[in-house]
Amino acid sequence: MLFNSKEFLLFLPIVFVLYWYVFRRRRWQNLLVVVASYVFYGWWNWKFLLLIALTSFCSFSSGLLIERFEGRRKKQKLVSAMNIVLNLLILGVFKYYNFFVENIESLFLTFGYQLDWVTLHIVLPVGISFYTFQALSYTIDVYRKSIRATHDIVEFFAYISFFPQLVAGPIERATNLLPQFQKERTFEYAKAIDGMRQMLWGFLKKLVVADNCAEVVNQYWGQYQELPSFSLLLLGVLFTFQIYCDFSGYSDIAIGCARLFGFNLMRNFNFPYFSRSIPEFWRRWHISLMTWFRDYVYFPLGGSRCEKWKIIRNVFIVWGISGLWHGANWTFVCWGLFHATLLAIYNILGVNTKYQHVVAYGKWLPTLKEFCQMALTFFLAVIGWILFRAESMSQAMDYISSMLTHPFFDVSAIYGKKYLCFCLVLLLVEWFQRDKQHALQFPNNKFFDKRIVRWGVYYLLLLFIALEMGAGQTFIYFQF
Amino acid sequence: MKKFIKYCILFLMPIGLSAVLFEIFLRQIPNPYTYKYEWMQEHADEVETLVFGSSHAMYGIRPEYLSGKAFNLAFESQVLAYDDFLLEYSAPKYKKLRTVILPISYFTFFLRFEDEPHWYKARYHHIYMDCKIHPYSLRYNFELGHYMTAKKKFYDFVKKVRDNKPMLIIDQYGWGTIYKHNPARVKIWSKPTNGKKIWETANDWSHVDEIMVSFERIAEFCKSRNIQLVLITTPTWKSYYENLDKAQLEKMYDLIHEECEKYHLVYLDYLRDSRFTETDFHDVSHLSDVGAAKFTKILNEDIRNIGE
Repeated sequence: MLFNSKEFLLFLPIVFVLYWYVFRRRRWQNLLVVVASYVFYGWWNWKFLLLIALTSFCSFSSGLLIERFEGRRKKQKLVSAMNIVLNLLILGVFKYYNFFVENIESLFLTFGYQLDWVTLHIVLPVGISFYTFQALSYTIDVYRKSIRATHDIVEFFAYISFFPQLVAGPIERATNLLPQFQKERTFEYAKAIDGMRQMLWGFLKKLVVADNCAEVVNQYWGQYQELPSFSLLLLGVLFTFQIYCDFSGYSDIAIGCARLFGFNLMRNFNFPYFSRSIPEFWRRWHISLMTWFRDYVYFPLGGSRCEKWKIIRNVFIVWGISGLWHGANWTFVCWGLFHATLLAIYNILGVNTKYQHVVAYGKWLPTLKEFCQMALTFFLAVIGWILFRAESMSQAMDYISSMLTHPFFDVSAIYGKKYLCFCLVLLLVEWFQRDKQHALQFPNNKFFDKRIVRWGVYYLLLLFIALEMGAGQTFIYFQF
Repeated sequence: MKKFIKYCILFLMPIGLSAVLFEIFLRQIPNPYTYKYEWMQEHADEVETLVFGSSHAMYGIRPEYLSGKAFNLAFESQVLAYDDFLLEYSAPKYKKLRTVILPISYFTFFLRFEDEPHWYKARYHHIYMDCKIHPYSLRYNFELGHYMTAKKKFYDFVKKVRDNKPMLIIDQYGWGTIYKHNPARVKIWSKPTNGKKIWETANDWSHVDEIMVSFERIAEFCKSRNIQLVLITTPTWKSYYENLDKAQLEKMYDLIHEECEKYHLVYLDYLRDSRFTETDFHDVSHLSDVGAAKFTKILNEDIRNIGE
């Protein structure tokens, strides 16, 4: 089921009413969350529910076994390793099998050997990368004793399959989400209202900006060989906004939706296009995945507390894996390595740990230096997204070389001007709200305290969505 | 909690009301479905020839050039189940109906109306023509069941009012008037190597049996009332027919010939008819207004020859 579907419009209020009015005790609420989440996921393809159930069961059992082998570290290690391997194996088969086979075949072919391995028509289960990583985090955290193993299978299944974030994150840690399933939830009016606001902003980003940009990008991307440089850059910019509004819009809806049920999910985006450097950008983009890699891959490799060359090696390893996590295509790997290179350069220049606070904090406008830094970071992000969007590496290289070699400007080939204006308005709103959790948060604002003003704003936003929403597109990150 | 529910309901009430008003407003906009439904209510007893089918017939057959009182009941993407519904809907009123022209296009036996990409057009039959194929579906019984086309309909209406253009895109005989010759559209598929799959090519043939049931219902109906059922395939431009899937096309012809033998039907195939030049087409598979006049005259002559 998609957030931007009519089914979800019915599904959400039904589950909400059942959750707070019928299933009022914690255990029953957890059971309802599992059932609702499985309905939500099974709406797409019920057969893959078995896969989530298997992943959940194995991780739950591994947690119990790790606890049972308390004091016997080797056995605990073996159990957690087995669970990690099993989860990665499932992920590998469904996501990377064909990619692996095709590449091995072409490698052998270059040496003159013809392999007859069979590529399979494997359907990629929606959200497999997200819930697998969530399951892995539980096993590792139990092994590391960051969290106690749960004995309640229902609450564990609810943690893995919690429908707001099941298919595209945020990738929750057991240390954050699982304890929330273990305590009674009480309805908080302010929290629920704020959740609704965040959902509204998420829907606006997805339906108006992302979907409209997608239409333009999808229509003209394939014609890149005939377009002038400026148009190619513009398409790259539109895709940059598309992917941001698509994914952060989903996260906003997920976080807002979870708040309706009394849960706090982690923040996934923190206005990344206002970053002054690439390292800062990655502290603000897909935060749940980046911190996952940081905690479970980067730090175990030595993190930043080692020699310079090892730091750079670690960055490349993490970003190679991160690229591959996004999809079974060399474009994603190259996109990851492109960012690894940038991060390494920033690291060598010593700007990796700077800029912890939001840009121009307490001011209306950035300084000229900050503006230039943001523009450079944005431009580098655009180049990265071009690699990400391309269907193959040759297309990506061709696209970028066309940007450099084609005539610069042709006024008749400027597409998506209207939607670019939407993007700029969105940026403007987010700029003024950049120190908030989301763009529709107005704490201590006397003007916004009046209900008539607030409702007026909501109605205007809804009207804007109704008038300008694009043709429904699925969320880009579903494919990951 | 109660406060939350109360304010949610209060907040949603104007939205719900707006949706209802918008739905009512959209239904008031003149459209070909209402026109054809009302025409059939009034004139079904006088009509001698009825034309069914999809956009190929809606824009390609001009009843004014057919002998006797004829009417075009074709609509965009309309398939056999809906042809069957429309034919039988007015059954008690038919007094003079002698000929039914049923176009069989490349996709007719393979695709259902309810499938992508044009399922939303099926809801107009439900809303405006008393169709009950999906009586309880929200999707098929409301204009807002497909919001994007509802929105487009509203914008089109505003545009037509602003430009003082007629609301209906059909003439008094039900023929769609808006398809003029469009050189760019005819050339879209002029390169056979562009690899573009024609959307009418079915992914599988799983619906053929179900669709043939509708066809046979039409054939049985005509047979029982002694109405001449004429099957036709409308002319298409070479870049269309050269890019069709051979297997699907062969299957189409096999099915047509089987049914022709079974019910003693006449089939007139104009798919590759060389009498039609580029200017006769609006796009690769639809005739222009000029092409439609030319084609209908030829068709009328051929039907008369059958009679003789």
